[in-house]
Amino acid sequence: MAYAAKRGGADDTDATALQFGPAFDKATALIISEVKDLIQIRVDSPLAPQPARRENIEKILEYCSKFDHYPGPNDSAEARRYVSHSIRPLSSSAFLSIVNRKEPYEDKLIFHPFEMAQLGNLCPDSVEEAKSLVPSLNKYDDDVIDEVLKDLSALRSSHF
Amino acid sequence: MFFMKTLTHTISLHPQYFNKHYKDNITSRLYNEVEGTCNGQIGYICAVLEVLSTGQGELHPTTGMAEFDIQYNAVVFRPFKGQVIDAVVAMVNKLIPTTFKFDSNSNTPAYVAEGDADLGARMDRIEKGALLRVKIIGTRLDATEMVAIGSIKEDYLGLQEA
Repeated sequence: MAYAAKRGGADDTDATALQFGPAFDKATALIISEVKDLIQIRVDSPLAPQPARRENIEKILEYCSKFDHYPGPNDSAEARRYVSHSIRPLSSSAFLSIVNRKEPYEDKLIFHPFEMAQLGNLCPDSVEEAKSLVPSLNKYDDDVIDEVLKDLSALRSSHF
Repeated sequence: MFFMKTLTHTISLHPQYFNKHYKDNITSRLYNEVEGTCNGQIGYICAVLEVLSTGQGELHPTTGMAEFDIQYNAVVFRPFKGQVIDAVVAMVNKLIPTTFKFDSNSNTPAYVAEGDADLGARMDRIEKGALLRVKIIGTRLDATEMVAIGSIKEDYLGLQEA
């Protein structure tokens, strides 16, 4: 550990306290279903990945398919809408403003981007489970989290 | 955790490519040079999504190469300490945790937790391909690789149903 610290290694970060270091302070965390959609766009693009790279990309796609909890065509966008606690569907520009964080997210959104993605990815069944998996959620009201969890679980069960 | 991030990358272009197709050239080189690479600060760059700007090339006085600072959006993956993440078991080796037994006799090596048979508990087998939910307790990012250590010894962690 001392070795990593000396080389400016990664251990000044702590996800439980939402500390991600300077490089990731402004980056937006993605839900795995969104990653799958984005990577698929990349694979289908005219500049196809070289065979050597393709293998890696396919591994990522395989991982994303395993943990893709919102497989329907618009489901990842719906999930993003629920976790960002927005009443209206997010327009693409609104999504991009979250992604690029042109406006401070505190004004419009309740959760930190990391918390949003974790809620969407881990799909906890109860508020208690959510707070155990993502300790930074402890500062929110149970009702707020519960509402998001119910929305997400309804979205997931709509496919079974 | 996967992130969408805006990154920059510098590409030196040899004078023989100074023609009308130079933009295609540097874009395809960007894809080849950054995708699938690991970086100590950023993590693993999964895929380039779009090129935002290629900038104006600047000639390097001694070599004649043109240097382009390219801005692009990419999907990156980076593990963080304290984060809970779902993972797929790729390999089981013999570092035995105390609560599991290592079963080397089966087809696929596995860890087996012996549930209480009286309570009708099922046997939990951690083997290749199993889905695990782990909490990352430490990470190390070097120039070329990432290493993370995770734990399943906490509530709501461990084997997941597929």
